[in-house]
Amino acid sequence: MPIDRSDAGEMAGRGPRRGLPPLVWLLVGLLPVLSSSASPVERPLLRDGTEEVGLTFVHRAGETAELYLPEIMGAGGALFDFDGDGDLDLFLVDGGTLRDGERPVEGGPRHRLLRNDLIPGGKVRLTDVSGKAGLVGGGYGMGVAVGDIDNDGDLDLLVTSVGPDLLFRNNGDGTFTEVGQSAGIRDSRWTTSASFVDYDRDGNLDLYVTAYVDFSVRTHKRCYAPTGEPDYCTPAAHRPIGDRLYRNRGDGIFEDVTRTAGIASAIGPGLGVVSGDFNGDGWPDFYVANDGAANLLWINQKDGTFLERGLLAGVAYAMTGVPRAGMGVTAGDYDNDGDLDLLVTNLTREGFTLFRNLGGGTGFFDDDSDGSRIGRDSFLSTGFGVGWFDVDLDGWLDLFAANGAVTRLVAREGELDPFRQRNQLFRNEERGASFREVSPEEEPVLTRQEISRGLAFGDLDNDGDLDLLITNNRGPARVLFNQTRRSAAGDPHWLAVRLLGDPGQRTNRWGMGARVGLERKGLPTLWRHVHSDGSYLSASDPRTYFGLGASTRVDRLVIEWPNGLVQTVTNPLLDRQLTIRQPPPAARQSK
Amino acid sequence: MVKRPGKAWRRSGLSRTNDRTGRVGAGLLLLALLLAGLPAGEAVAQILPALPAIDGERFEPEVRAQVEAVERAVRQTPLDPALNGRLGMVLQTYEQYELARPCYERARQLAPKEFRWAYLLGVARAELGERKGAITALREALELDPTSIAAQVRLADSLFGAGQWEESAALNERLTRRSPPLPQAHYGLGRVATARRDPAAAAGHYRRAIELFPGYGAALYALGIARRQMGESAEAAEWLARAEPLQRSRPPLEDPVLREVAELNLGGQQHLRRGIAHEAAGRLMDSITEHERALALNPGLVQAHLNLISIYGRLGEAGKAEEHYRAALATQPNLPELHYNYGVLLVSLDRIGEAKLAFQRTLEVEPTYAEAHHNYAVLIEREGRLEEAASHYRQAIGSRPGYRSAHFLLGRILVNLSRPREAIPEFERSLEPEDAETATYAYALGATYARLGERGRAIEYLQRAYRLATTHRLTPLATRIERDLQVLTRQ
Repeated sequence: MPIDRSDAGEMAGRGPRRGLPPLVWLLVGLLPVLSSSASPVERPLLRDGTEEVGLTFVHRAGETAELYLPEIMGAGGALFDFDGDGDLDLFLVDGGTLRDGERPVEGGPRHRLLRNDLIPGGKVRLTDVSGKAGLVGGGYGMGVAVGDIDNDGDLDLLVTSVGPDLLFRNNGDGTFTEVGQSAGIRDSRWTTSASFVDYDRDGNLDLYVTAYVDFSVRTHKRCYAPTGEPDYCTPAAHRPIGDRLYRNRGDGIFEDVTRTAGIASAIGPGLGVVSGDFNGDGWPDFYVANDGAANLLWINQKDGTFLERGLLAGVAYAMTGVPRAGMGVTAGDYDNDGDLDLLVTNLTREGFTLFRNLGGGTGFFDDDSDGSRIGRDSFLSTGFGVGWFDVDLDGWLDLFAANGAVTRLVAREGELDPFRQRNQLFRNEERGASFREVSPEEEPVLTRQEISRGLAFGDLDNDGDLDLLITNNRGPARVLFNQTRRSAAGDPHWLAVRLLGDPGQRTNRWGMGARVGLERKGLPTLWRHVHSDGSYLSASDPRTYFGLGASTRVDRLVIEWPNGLVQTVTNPLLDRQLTIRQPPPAARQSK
Repeated sequence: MVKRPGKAWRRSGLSRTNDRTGRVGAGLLLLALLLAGLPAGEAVAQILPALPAIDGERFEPEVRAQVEAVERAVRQTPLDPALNGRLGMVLQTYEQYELARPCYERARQLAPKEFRWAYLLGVARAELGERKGAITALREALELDPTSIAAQVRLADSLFGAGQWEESAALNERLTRRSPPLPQAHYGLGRVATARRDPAAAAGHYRRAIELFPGYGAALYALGIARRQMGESAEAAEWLARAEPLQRSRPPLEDPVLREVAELNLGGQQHLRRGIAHEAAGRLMDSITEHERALALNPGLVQAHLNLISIYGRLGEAGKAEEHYRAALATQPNLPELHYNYGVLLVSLDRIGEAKLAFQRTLEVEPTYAEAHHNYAVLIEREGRLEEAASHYRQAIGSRPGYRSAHFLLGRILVNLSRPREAIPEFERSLEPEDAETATYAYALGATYARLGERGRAIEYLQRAYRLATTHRLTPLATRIERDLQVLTRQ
């Protein structure tokens, strides 16, 4: 029987500091006195910690002279606590090599599961436990989604690929069992990003899987750049294939409800998906980024079906009305007005598209790419993984984009590897009215140029700020530590929330799909939605992090559980992870 | 905090000298070099941006020859502005803007009174996202030729992109007063109004742009969004739906300089694009010429073969169509479109057996090819293999949701299999969007309801079918429907 890893109550304190011996504490205590006359030094917020944590994974794209399209698409990664010990582990998807109709003798994907030894070691060090874990198989690896499919408290994985999708159930003992076929997930097409969310609010996490195009090695087309040299094809050279929606019946079976749910009524070359309540009715919807075609906004009709509303909502296209690339997608309340906004990454010379939710339950959005300056400052970037996160813990969501070119047209001519680009960090300024691109001089990690693809967020070192995992196509995966909590005198305050849902009340164990609001007097309520999806091919830690800046008090936390229950927690303690258990049915009002 | 240097400066070491202040600086440097005793030509060469390093390997052979010829000429006569500019144009026609830019910068410095170099420099910078640099260059171009509409439109666009809304609006205002009126100017004003969050004003401008060019996709879309912002969701939905099929439709903009750039393109891709454009406009012979030229330059352009199979087939030149089929088969035997297009050709030649094989081959290669399922189903339906045909129609619909013809034909089979109740939803799914085809589908639906004894619904759909048939002047169909309606209403 899987071990139930749920906490009895709060988990207090910060992990790394508890292990320091007394002498070190004494010296640490003296430091502010010794340096009190020195002016605070502004250090970069982000630091490359790849080497120090022992991360040596290099993605294999299996590139050939044929320029098969999957070779340029990269793969994703996940930050999730697979062993329930309180720190985040890493899962990295590998590509491998492409073969048509035969299993490769060698060169199959070598996905990696890396255990974080922060607890109990006190320091983030990664140990490769892939061999024991059993996360093997599949075709040419693409993406990963994370969710607790059986509500046993531990997190399971879906790995997408050019080839069969794999559903790995976490056995709770460091191993996984592949159950895709028996669970009804039998898709061998080219699938990309995926999202676990309980769309029908029955307490079981369902699954939305995006699908890309009808590529196969046998039907591979040769494409050319404007110069006439061979180049990777664009998705327009292939036919799009439809996404799939699976309903989790709660008995180990995922039922394909694509057609009956209405998802089959629109198709596009899907690359990114994010779930969220985009029209404020309490039910989760899906937004899909399609590559070179209309993006899709699936609005939950609360009866098991969805209607596609992207065009009228204003999120099918950017303001010019023309489809853009559409690779990565992220949802978050960047202007702190209580609703979920969207951002989609696109190709060089398109600029990212920022859709501001107009709220009021309309489900309508405006294209704010130019006004926010993000469109302008991303004009030369081909963006993939992307995410809203509060890098400086000031309570306003910032944005990180993982960039890298896909065709020679947009690549850097004359360079050894012309597809490399810089990643970008956009700081939220003027309270969501605009963003400022951070320069490489301010953040040296942004100097490096690679073919970045996946991006996941999580507090790897449990110090209260969100760190980043970046995957690179045919290159090394990287960990960037967020140093906000150690960057200057007067560290900003923070609060992390881990929800414990009650499946008996039709709520999944990790509370995915819930909304958490943080109220402080005189300041806008910070709303965050609980999820692990979004970005590109990647999965983030489902815990919710709030940056509080200089605030030393939080009046109230409001938790809107997926089953409609609303719970409040007054005056929570700060600078810690708070585990909030769903109360028994007798408590509170419903939504 | 260290201020990041501007992109333009960083990418092209001396391009910061191309603005007016920079040129003054360059002039002083030139003077200094001359005073230092350097020969004039060498002195000038010192202050110019370096010529780009061009990797000829990247170009297909004929294009490579073209680029190398011009590059050789420039290196022999590096101070000739026309040659420098021409190299930029040749590189730009193959979308190599990073390489074209320094060529234009050189030409601009060598011939500062030549409009085209300032203009093309502005275009290149805009493509590279260097909005401020684009604005500077386009302004300078307009000082040299204030009458260039293309430069004014591009400047207004660059100003908007750089957040300089007031100036963009002022320029577009002036452009709206010219004759003939310019839809782009009204669209530009609409964009500024949208940015200022004044949807009513924006809607007015977009409407005017659409009046001037009804197929203006971007304006139609923007008007839909503006209407929605004004709370008129129903009207917004209509405009947005109108915009969808016209996404890339724009009003023409007379631009002789860029036309000259486009005409320099010798690449296979360009000929292919022209061939496709000719075909879309119904100029099949021109289309053939361009496609054949594309293949001559790049025999690997299988898309050209595919298109020629279709075009020759339509012209009744089966032999030539088959030649292209065989040529493509030799290059890429597993392209589903290849077998599909060949199948369509064979149907037109009444070689049905071979056509069936071609569609089957398509499905072997690509089992989800909706049109191949559809066409194969049509052929086997004729042989009476109804259940099998129904299965293929269903597969076509599975791959292509909303495939109207497949829904209709599946519905028809179900009626013929005496399963009219199952046919109803299939016919219903074929009705939208309402157009001339809907007349036939609505007729079928009405007839099916009649067969089921649901007279009211039958009359409803027959009336709809009749209305559509008469609207679209489908007289024989309208006559049949009218006859059936009379029978039904007499009952």
